[in-house]
Amino acid sequence: MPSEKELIRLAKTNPKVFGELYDAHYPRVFGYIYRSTGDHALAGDIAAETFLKAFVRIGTFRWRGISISSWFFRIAVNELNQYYRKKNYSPERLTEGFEGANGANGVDWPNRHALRHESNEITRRIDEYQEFEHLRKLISTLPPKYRQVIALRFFEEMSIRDVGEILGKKEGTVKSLLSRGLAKLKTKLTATDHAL
Amino acid sequence: MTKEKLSNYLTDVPKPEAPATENEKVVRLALLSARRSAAIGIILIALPGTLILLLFLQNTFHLFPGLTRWLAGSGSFLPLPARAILVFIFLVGFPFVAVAVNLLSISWYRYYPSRRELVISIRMRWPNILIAVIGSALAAFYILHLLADTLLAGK
Repeated sequence: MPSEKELIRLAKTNPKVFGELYDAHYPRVFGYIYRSTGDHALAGDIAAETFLKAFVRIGTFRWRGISISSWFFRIAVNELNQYYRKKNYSPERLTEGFEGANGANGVDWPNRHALRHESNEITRRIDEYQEFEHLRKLISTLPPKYRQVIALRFFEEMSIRDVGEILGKKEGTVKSLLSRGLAKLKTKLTATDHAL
Repeated sequence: MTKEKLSNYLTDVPKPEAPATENEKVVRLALLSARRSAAIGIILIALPGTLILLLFLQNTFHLFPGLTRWLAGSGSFLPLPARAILVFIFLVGFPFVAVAVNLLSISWYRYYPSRRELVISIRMRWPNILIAVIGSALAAFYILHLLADTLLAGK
């Protein structure tokens, strides 16, 4: 079993190896984006953009002890920032042109119906997480630096060290951001009279 | 409510899982179906490239004296326009396809209607870029040769 460092080296020249990294990390990155936006279809688009950028830039990745997982998350964080910053954020729809093209080039593309069904099913399920949704909406109103640390630390259950690695900040800075972010969130929660 | 209580609450609150199986498959295929086309490109430029190289060596160093005769003889059963088209496809069409396939395999195009912007991303993958450059040079070489021939024939 090659080490992560070796896999990254191979992925720079072999797309199949990038595919392995993609398979290993897509679900977690997608989950993070989905829990941040609360929109399954949008999360799919932002995740696609994240991995397209990673695929295009994998050649520039330099091994400095930062894991590839943190690198993927770092791109995802930047994409999410763009989404929050720009109202007209429009990530590339990698699925366009392929949906419904089953069998083309010997490749069976998941069809549009299956995608829509999955998206509707997940949207229905989020109604069961109203408490989380309420929190997510409040957190999304916080400044990006607080939003990022809270989401990564509590929703993705990452260690302070991993959060620091993703955001390129020292552990002390992350702790301080968390503390201030929680204080701001507490104020917002109190203002909305949310029962705790 | 203390910060610690809030931290525990954020940790314990049930969070939605997001199985993205269909989406994951689509993105994976869209990304990786841009298969590296260097192998096809090499074949498509190696064939006309070899022929041009041999003809160049023949003209410059008077090597392979039978080459031109063999080429003229092997296609003699075809009418001249058909031979000209075949040669054009071989010397220009093949390299052109190699250029197109290799550039497409490392490029992604996005159009943002709201911003009226076309964004082109090119992955700097040197084998594909090199093949595209060589392919362009081969096609250009033959086209320029034809142009020079046509212009000089009038004099």
